[in-house]
Amino acid sequence: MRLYVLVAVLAAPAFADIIPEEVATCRNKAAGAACTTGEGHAGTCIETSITRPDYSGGVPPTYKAVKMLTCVATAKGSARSMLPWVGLGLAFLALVAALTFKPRGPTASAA
Amino acid sequence: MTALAQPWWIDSVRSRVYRALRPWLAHLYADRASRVLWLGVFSVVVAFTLTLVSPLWLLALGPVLLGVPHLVADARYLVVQPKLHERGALAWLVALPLLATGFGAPPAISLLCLVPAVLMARGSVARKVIALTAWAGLTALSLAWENPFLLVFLHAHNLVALGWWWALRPRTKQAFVLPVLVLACTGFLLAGGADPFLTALGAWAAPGSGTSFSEFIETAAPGLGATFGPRLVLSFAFLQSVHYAMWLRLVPEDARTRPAPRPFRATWDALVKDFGFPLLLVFIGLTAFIAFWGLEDLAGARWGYLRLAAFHGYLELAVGAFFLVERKRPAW
Repeated sequence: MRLYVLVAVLAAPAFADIIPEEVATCRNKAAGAACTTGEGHAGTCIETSITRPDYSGGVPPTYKAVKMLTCVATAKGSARSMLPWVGLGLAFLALVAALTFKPRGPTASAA
Repeated sequence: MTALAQPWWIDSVRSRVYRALRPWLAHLYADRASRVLWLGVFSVVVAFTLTLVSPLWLLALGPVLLGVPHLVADARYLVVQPKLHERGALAWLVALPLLATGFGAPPAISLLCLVPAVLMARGSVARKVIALTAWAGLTALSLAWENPFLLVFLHAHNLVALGWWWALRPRTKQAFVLPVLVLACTGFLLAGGADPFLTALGAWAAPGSGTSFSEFIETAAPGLGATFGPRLVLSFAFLQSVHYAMWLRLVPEDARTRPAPRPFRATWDALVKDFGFPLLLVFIGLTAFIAFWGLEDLAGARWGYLRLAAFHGYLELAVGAFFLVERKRPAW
């Protein structure tokens, strides 16, 4: 039973994460669609022209200009902050320390 | 008196094949050590050949077809069979940072899973101090250089499986062939030895796979130059396949109590005993889901799987640290 609950707990974010990953990038989206940048900013898919290496003929690659959609942050976005993670990390360490070094009750010999 | 389970038809077919080939192949199956060795060499040769012939298809299809089964093997041999999930709060405390990984936590948070694994292991204080120092070092590196850390972790974790397999049982001198072969093949790929083969075979492109070397270089070898980048991607394709072979073929072979190969029916029964039928159905469903997603959108399915699998490298590290502190082989 413990194993079932453990698997369910680990599976939950996995499924939750598949969808935001798609939302986060501009794959299969049209220009102007909303997206989220790698840094966690809210953004918009913008068509840009870049020079990209093409390895289909081997190395060294040839370079060609391609048009692609990239997620550009908008002013309203909020960057990913480390602060909540630092707080959670410290709370976790405190929990581990409390469970590992908890004082033991009086033993039979002591009594 | 309990009746023995009837073998499946495929077991009867395999028995007949074994009997027919016994005069030539019996010595290969005679004992576990030699069987595991040649299975390992065969797996490495297949992985290397596929890397030369069709690296992009290997990179695209490998995670989609073998990813979930290898995660199940991870859970089975790292947690279930050593019964770590029955060690009080240990499993839950290790699971919390892994859970956070799925929600996009930075690697410093994921690495926290090592702390309870080390502190709750039954080992000497000195070993715990050494392990915690290693954890602190890794955490400092991940905080200072997050992206390079993730990149090194991505590539190095493929070799962790080889270390895990090696640690399972005492090894003979002949067993060194396998890690030496893996390192030689990796060196060959990194030195550019495969480049002319790929050019001759037209393997630099794979129309229909929905991916390209440019895409893999951007994600697995960014900023490493137009020459070394593709070579690192090739070594990743090879080592990822070796990683799957370790978890799906060699580790199960070595972790089993029974030294001889067992019927498929017995393998299935052992899986049901370890996980229970409903959980196995979930795993089969998830494997089928990723595979069918791959038919619809191969690149999307690969990314989806990679998000799903992000935690397992840290799990391998945590359980490895646990057994190092306990000074025990993870064989049972």
